[in-house]
Amino acid sequence: MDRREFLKAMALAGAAAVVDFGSVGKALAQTKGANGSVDLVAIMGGTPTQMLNRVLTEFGGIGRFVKKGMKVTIKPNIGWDRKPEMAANTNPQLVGELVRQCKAAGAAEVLVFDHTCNEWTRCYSNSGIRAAVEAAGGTMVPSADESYYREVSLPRGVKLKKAKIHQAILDCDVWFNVPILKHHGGAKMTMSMKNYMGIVWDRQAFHSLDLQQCIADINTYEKRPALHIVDCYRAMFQNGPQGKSTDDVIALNSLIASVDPVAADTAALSLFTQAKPMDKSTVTHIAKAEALHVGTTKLDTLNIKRIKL
Amino acid sequence: MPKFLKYLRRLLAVLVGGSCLLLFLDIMRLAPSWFTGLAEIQIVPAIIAGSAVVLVVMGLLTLLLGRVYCSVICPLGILQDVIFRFKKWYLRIVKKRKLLKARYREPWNIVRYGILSVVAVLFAIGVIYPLLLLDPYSNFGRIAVALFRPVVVAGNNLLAGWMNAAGNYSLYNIPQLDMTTIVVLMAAVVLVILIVMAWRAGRLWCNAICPVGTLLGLLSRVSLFRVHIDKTACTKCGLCASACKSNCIDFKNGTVDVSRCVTCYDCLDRCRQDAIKYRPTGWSLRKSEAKSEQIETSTSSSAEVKDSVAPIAENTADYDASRRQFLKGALLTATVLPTAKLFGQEVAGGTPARILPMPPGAVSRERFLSKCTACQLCVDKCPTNVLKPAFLENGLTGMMQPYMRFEVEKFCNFECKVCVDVCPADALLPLTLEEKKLTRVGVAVFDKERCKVYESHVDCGACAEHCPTQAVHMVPFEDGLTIPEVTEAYCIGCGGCESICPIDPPAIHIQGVDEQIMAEQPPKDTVELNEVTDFGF
Repeated sequence: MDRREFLKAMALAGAAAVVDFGSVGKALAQTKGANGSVDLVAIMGGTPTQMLNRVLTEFGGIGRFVKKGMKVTIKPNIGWDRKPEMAANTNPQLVGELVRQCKAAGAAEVLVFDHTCNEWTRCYSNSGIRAAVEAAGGTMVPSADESYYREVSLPRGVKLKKAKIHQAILDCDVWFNVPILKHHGGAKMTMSMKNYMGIVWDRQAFHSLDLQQCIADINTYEKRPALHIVDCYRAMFQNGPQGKSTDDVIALNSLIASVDPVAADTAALSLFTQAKPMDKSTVTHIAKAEALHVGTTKLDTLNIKRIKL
Repeated sequence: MPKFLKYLRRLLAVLVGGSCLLLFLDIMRLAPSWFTGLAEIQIVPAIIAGSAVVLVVMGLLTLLLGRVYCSVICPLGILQDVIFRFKKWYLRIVKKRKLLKARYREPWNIVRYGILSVVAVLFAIGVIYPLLLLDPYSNFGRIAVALFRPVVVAGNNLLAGWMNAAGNYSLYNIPQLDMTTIVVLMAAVVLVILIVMAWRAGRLWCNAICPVGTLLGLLSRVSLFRVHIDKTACTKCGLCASACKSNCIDFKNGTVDVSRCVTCYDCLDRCRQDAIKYRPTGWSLRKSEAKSEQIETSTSSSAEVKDSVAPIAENTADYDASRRQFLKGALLTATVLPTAKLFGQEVAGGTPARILPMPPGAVSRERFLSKCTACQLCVDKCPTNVLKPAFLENGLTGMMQPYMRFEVEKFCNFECKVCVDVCPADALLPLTLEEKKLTRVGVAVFDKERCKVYESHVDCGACAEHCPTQAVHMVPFEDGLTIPEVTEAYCIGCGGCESICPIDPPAIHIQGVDEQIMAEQPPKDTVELNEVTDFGF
């Protein structure tokens, strides 16, 4: 086999893998406990760092996702120019620890970015995430320029058929989706799937088409994260997604991680509604994503670990 | 000693001039906040802000040493010296000639005192426009932001492109400012005039046009230290005058017009007789010099070229002459003034229907438009580029002063008050962050019928999502959907809602206010939350 043929074969294999990704949700639902692997881990009662370390251990260690020399990208929620206590952005310690773990696993580079809502340099700095990431050896990647985004098509999307996605996602070997659990005026709640809005350039298209459907649509993007890690350490329960003050924040001291974003969001929403009851069905992007086979809301079909520290 | 002074002046000029350039061209906003102090020690902003300390220090400095402000603090003056330096290099390299012609130029007294009086009187009655057009610091700002910045940004983006492709993100793409054409034009016109004037006549701008130069010239007339020619040693060779950027050394008569001397010290090391000196002569000069001048008058010949040598007999009458010219200038003011005032009123009448907000801290439109010199520092530093210099949005006389306009990703960042911090004239009051967060620059106006939720029956809420005060919030609509509602009392007009609204033109927009007041602080929501001890699934 010469080089060209080899590359062709690789491309075909890649395409096949991509096609297969569509049924990941269903596949997950069927493989409960099949090989003893965990689908979802929920943990409560430790620092963000402790909880992340335990979660990764339950999934078989960071080495299961990150191999030596890999280019890793982490996508937290850094949408707002807010201090960590406001819980408008993902916990900086959590992000920093994930960067550290990836580096320890031999990652060639760990890039961190978000297409922010407020001015990006201020968001990166004031969220505390820039400092945490750089201290752990990661790199903050700029996001406020269209030239960093390339168009991909979303054949399975209902209303959103294509989107320009940040090159840090497109060009990496593996990526992690690390949102924070928050109330959201538009989408009702923001967790794993809503966090995808920060990987695209044209956020306004979501609003002008149909916000909830577009959130589901963007989650059909073929290159799925290794893990969705939902920061539920502090949660904004009202006035989201920015919040007015720390009065909008409740300490849930938890972390939920899953390979399935629909499951992760279903779980996180259930955790949240204990504190503040709401009609879960109003977060319609969860059902819409399930309809597109992004994942499953049927948590009882999954292999779930619940841990209290 | 003479050389030392010249080199010290050059060193300070390079340091201050370079820093001023950095101040405006720090496109990544890396400089610490105290760096903007460079703008605050500039004389016109200090006058407008009423910074007594700066003014007293500058005044004393001038009374002591002469116009050192013009030589080492004023960025526009330093820029002219740079242009002049290019001329010197041109002469040396292209023309193979080392020296400039020795020349004494008569002061343009009518012009300079005329301009100063017009500017001062109009400023005193609240019309800032002539000062805005002539303030050296603000002109430098406009030149730096409108002409130099785009070049720096383009260079940065080219480099950033290469570096990012190689995986290095220490540089990043920076969007060009959406600069208003009038500012680019004005900056270009002034720069061309400066180049022509500096090339042909050194610091003529500073001694004929610049109101600050003229004002300081009035002080430096009586300064303690001054450049002074020892007539007993002088051979009238003109070497000193050939080095003079202000053409203010009347070498044939052995006098120096200290009102025009910008203390560049270039003349001092030229004299082979050691006859030209910079020393504390000023306060003792009047009496002793007057005597010696009179003695010399009788001996000097009267048949010399008129341009360079006014007979000394006339020199004693010089003060009278300049006083007369000062009065003439003042008269000019009296005629220009009413016209200008009329002009201003006419404009005030023609307010556009859509009021565009002023930056926070402007307080009122009248106050802001009479204090801002359009130096563009806030426009340059605004992280979201929501500030834009006006063309006609502020009326005819508000041209180039900034206003706010909201587009995608362009809205006032709630946690930011950079504009307020950098404004050297305090045209934007130095609000605390807590005050700024409540300062209402405008109010959101919601057009429900055109809203995406109302029109298409889908969730949106982009406006409420971007509202930092929850003045725009979502209320129940139909079928489990929620729709925006505006509580005006809490709205500060940051424009987050307008900037993100997916409808074109936006279904929610900000109507600016002419008087900025404090918005109400939204009440604390009291919500009973249940304790969470388990996962809930």
